[in-house]
Amino acid sequence: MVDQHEIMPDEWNIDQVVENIEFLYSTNDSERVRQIQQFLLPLQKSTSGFDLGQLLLKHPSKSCKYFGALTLTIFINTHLSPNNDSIDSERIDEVSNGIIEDIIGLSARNTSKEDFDSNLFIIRKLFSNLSLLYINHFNEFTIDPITALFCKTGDISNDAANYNLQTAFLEFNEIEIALFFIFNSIIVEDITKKDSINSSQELHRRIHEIIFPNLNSALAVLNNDSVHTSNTICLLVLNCINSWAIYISTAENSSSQRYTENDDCQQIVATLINQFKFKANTAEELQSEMETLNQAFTTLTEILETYPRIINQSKQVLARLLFGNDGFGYLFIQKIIMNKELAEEYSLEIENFINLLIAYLNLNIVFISRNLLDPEISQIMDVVINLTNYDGNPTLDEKVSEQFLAFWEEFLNIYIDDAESIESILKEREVYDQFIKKRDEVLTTVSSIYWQKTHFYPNAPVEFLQYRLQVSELFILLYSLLNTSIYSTLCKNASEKLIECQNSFTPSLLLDLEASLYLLHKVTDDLTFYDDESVKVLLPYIDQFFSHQLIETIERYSTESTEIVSITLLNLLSSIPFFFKSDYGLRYLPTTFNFLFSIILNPNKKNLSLIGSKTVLKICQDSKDKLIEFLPNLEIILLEMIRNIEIDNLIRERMVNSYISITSSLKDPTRLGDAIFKLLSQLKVQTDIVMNNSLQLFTTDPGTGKEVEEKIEDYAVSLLSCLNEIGRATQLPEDLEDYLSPQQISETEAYWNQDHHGIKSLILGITNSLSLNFPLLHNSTLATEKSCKILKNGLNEPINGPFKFELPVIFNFLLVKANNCNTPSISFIFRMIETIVLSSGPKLTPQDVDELILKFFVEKKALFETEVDLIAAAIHLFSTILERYPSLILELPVFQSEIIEFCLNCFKYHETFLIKADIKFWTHVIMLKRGKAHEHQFIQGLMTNKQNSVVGLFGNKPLGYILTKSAVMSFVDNPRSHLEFFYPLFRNLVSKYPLYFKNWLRSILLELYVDTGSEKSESKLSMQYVDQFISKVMLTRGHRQANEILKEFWLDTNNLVDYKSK
Amino acid sequence: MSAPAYYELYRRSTIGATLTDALDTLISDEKIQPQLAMRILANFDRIISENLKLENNIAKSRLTFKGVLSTYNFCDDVWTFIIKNVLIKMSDVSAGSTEGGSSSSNSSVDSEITVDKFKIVACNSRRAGDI
Repeated sequence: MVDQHEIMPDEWNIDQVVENIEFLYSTNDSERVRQIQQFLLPLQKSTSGFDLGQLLLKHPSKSCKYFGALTLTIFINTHLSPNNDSIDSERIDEVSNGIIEDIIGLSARNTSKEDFDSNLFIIRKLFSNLSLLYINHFNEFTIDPITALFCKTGDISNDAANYNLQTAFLEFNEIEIALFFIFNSIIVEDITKKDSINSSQELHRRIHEIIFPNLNSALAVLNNDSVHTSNTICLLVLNCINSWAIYISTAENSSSQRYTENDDCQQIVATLINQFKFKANTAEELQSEMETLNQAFTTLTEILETYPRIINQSKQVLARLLFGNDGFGYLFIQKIIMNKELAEEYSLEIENFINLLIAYLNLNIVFISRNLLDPEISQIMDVVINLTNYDGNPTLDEKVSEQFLAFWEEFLNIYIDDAESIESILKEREVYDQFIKKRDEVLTTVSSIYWQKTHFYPNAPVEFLQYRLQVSELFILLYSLLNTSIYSTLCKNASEKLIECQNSFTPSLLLDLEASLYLLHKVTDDLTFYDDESVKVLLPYIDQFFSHQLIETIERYSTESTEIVSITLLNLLSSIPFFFKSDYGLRYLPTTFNFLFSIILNPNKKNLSLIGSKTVLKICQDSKDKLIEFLPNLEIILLEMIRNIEIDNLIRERMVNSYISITSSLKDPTRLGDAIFKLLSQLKVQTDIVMNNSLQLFTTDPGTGKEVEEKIEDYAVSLLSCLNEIGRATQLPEDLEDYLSPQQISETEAYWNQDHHGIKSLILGITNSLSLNFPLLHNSTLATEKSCKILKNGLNEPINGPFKFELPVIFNFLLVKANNCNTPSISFIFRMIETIVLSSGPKLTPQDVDELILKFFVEKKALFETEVDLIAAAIHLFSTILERYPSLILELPVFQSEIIEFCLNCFKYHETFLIKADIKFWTHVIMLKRGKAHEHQFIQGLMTNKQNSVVGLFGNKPLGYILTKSAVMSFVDNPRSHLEFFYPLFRNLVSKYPLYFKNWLRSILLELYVDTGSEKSESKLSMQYVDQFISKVMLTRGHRQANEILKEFWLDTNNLVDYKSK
Repeated sequence: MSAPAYYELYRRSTIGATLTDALDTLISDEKIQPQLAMRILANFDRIISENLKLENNIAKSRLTFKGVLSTYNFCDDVWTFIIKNVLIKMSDVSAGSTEGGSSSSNSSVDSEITVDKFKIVACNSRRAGDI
């Protein structure tokens, strides 16, 4: 191997290059690859790149040949770009002739088919080079490159002016035909890729007027019945048509060229349609053409989706071919799709065929939807319905029904959107009624097909869930169109299945029932999400199947293998709280609750019990006032749940919330207080057991020491969570006056002022015991989080309540906890203080804040030097205080002595959340939106005055200078994705301190980025650049345009480029 | 510079921004040329658009929302909606968990969040890649 450093681009020899190329394609050593590329790339880019490419293309090795073709691409891009005005037409001729010679060399008439195929990847690259040259310099070409190529192939280059490609095509052999269509594909693909909008009008004109007629003529020759073309050529032709369809759409978008469906595109359409006209009667005959057919499916689909206009003339022919009783489609459906074995083998082809049908249907969907009574449309609908009902389990055995789902959705949307226009088109009442009858027939058939398809089956893949969801969306649309009739049908179906189950049970009946309940659940869920009122109309329908012993029947017959039925029932129950609130549903509440609790309390059905608890929670929250009579039973169950360590924590917590929610709805503070007291007493007992005799919690063998410890820790955290759930469930709604009468408000205040059960101290006692005094939870971040949440519950309460604590009480807790916890817990404590500032800011004094900062921040400063989460938590707190109540912090000595330096230092970090938080802090410092006049003056003094206490920290510079310097250095050093965080900071500096900022920035940039010859400067910007940049930034006066200028500066200092397309 | 065949809007997503940062590092370390980075990003635009298409069935999360439509406009084939007081329901069937929160293959995970302001920018997916 030759040392590349010894070779200059003009001093290469072909053997060295070949040796390097062979090595390049055989090694896996990335470092060697990089070295070789460093050696070869300058050669490829050099002025002798063309000669090198030509030499390599003559080398016997295919790797060298391909590398030669690549070299020509690099040479053209480097030396023959469209922007290079110094290129003469002779040079273009020379290069294009050279490439044509290379192509001929690789595909000469005496080349065997095998050789041609093996050279095809090189030939394609050469075609691409020729296309590139033509796209760059089409004005210099006297004849188009395709004609030029075949003119040379035919060895009549001397008489090029009289050469007629269309006539010559008649004599082409198979290789030449292949070359013709490949080149025709590549040239338009390259134009489409290269420049979809800005291509020259002239280039598109030349393509349309010179190249396209030759293609059209060639297609006409092949479309002649007497010409037989091989499958290989057919595939190339179809590929070529695909490329042209995309190109035509591009050309029409970006130029004045128009390809008319009557003349220009007739042959393209004929070629495609001919693929479906061949005479075949058997599956074997279809199979032999399957590759071509598949290509025709995808190409025609592409055209129908992107450029359907050219099919206009042939729509009816195509419809007959695809949907007619004697057409290709019928044969394909009967022989391939309906044949189980072949359907499996040709699943991809079937998918493409169905896509073609759907593309056709979508194109004509308005016409089809309005002409259902037309016999031809009727025929089409029959085919589509038949295919939708394709046999097999969806997603596992068949995908056809899934493919058609999108079509049916669209079909329904047409009726929903066009209801009025259809009525005005079908003026005669009788015709209209007939039409609606037909439409409903179709929709009923489709809904019953998908109802059947949505049946759950054993071992259904996860995709089936997605499928069911799509089906449910179809039913939601059906409801929009047919209203309660579809809902009523589903309810009726559910009732019938229940009766059948009771008369003669089979498991399949349960799955029938499940399908209906699933769809009812989804439709109801959607309706309640958007409109709570409209669902009232559903009450009698829901009552219909409840009255047929819905719950009892499922409870009785559901087994492990039909667990899905119970899950669906649970989900349905959680979506119909409006039913339980009504007189219809009230009578089913006892059975429903019994059922739900039997599930929740069943240790063998953990999976179901979680859903059950969620359902109970939802019903309790939505129908609180109807559930009061259940409180005594619920209380017994709940107290047992609190005692039982084996109960799932989430269930226990949900039940606590449910119980307290119902009690709160009484709006009676005494009853609420009693209920809370009962729960707290039990929680206290359990806390004592946890802390003193935890093994007493277990009735069975709890396992090894570590396992026991984990279980006890989880249980202890859950006790804290239960406490928090009590707090959540007792929170008053925002519009207190709407919720409670003045008398109730004063009663509540009075009750909690007195607090004769000592509930507040019980809450604090339990929290303190578990969070502060129980060693297992000292280092539990979760316990800290729950404890903070418990104390947060009352912060925003407008009147006194069980969780309304005095701020010093909360601060005391936080202080003890801060000295008795793991590091991540500190973040939660800071967030807690932030919440206190937000909710109780006016009650705080600067002295309170000073003390908090001293105890939680200054005294623990060492922690804030390494833990980025803690740093962010602290900055968030300072930022929030500055934003909401700046007077609480601004004039504290600690602000200048500690906080400013701390926040300046944070610029050195690259963590997204930290940079965001820090910049937010500095933006609040600069803007001080809620600051008073003297506070603004104070900040201005800090920012601009050299005589302040911050000076000592930063060597006789004002804070503004130091801030700008830190921000600029951090900005340059941060990744591109962080730039947008910095923009507001710089823009605020520009707008608030324009003159100062200009000077600071200039001085900083000179020091850091301008090459003054001193060692200190890192690089590279000129004085002129800096002055221009500063002028541009200042001109924006801090408006949005500054963002782009700052970004450009970042790109220039980092030697990077803007990736955005211009 | 050629016009984009695919929208570049996904470059602002977390995965797009991270890719861009990684490419910047590779360019700064002189491992790749900026042109290659641009090609990679163009590929990213194409692949992410194609993979997010409904028919590819890869993106399974669904989002339903209701709120008050505050402003909307349609400009250059792009719809923009600003919705206020929005309740958003997210379903993620790919998570394969039940709606109650436990693991099973029978249902989807639903979660709801409320936001003050919700901005939707909707581009015509048919144009992307077809132009």
